[in-house]
Amino acid sequence: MNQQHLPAELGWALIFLMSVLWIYLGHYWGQKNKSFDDIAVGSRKIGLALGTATAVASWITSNTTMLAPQFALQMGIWGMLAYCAASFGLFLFAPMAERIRNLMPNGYTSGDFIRLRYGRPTWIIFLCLSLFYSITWLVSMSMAGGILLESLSGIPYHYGMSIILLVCVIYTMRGGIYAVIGTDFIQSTIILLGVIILGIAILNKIDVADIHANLKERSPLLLDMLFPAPIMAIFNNLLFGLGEIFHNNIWWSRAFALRKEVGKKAYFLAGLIWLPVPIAAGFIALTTGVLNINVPAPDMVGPLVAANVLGKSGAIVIFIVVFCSLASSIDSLLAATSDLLTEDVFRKIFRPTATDKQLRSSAQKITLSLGLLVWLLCLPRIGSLATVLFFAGPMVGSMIWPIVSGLYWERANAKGAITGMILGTLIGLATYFLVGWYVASLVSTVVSMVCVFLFTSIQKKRFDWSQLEEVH
Amino acid sequence: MLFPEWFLEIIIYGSLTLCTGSVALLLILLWREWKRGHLW
Repeated sequence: MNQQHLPAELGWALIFLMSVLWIYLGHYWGQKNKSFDDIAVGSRKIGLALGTATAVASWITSNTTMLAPQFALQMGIWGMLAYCAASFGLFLFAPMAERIRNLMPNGYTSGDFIRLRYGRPTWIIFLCLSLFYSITWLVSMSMAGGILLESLSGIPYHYGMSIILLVCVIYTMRGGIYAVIGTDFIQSTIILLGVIILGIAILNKIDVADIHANLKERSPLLLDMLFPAPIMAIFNNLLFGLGEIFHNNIWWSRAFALRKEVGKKAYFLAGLIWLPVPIAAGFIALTTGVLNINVPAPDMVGPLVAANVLGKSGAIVIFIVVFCSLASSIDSLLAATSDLLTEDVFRKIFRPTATDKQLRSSAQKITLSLGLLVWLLCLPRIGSLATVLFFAGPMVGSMIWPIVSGLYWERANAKGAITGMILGTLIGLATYFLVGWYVASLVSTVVSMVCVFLFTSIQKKRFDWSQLEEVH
Repeated sequence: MLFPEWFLEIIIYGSLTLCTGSVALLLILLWREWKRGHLW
């Protein structure tokens, strides 16, 4: 048994306690749901505290807590700073959230915006890209959950993956966005406290001066101000973060759910809260030299250092932080993707006259079906499935400009959006295979930008913003 | 050229301070909105 392992019985006990808590809260808060509006957008009255916390929790994935130390271990100080660049998406979405709420007082999804702004052909392309991305992200996070729980406590992959998915499906189905946002607050607080406890425990044991001296002597590249790989990763992380936050319904559904006057503040505060997390969670990997820890697997460096410094209690803290990071992102993505399928596919394509009761029932069935689909895709544990998410970089990069220009420019049009999304995705994917992952998002964003600029500049007709005020 | 020690100190202690402030801020906001009935 590796030293970072928790005993499996303790792992099971922690999972049981957290699962019971999330399901109970989902059931309790689910009693507030009286209409589809409640399930999808929380009656559009969510306040600043819960709005900020849900954005933070959804953006802190298991990658943030587990990959940040690996970034620090392999790419040093610039690696941590590069990871922080992913917070810029939250900062830049803040003014957009306010504009979305003002332009679309009755909107539900990002799909609603694309359909009303650009028409059906663009909407279909957007839905294909967005749903492909959301499902691959769900699969990747659920697989990561199974793998991490197995690495941390020896719980077999299939059990860990199935339980985390099942718990999220149950409380999301029962409680809708109220359950997701309520549990997100608790989960984000637990994650931040866990990161603080680990950081302070490590700084009590060793000094920053020792870390610096050790790195200078043994791995000076990690302190290099001109380390090229992580400097290039900054642009990739930045654009991936922008593309993901600008297009994904997780962030749009929050923009619709937050009270009109708090959307901008909530996203700005969320960016500020998320910004230091990759450093606070990542710097612990820089201590391996001082602590004389041998790191056989770079992706497990966080738990390794925690267990070395804090013993069993360190392993417990990491386990709880990872479980909360996984649940807080999987539940948000489940709810947002289910809303997209209910509103854009079920209501807009198949049942335009659906009653409120039918929409509520459909949202629950779609959440369950989505959970089942993701579970079936994760079951065979095909390693290449998790890497499909990397292809999503060019896809989400190509959606940045069609969305930003659609929100702010009267002359942005469907031709620019369609060519931008298709050409950006195709040329970005070609770059991914021919050059490398670190420039794929950048190339796709630039290609899409050129298309949008070109078609906007030759467009005469101006869009009437009142067309976005759809009444259901 | 290497990052100096003081820079490492600033980003490590700064990030932990910001995280601690964030938890306090979230709890204060929660308390204020709960008292006013503006939570959700």
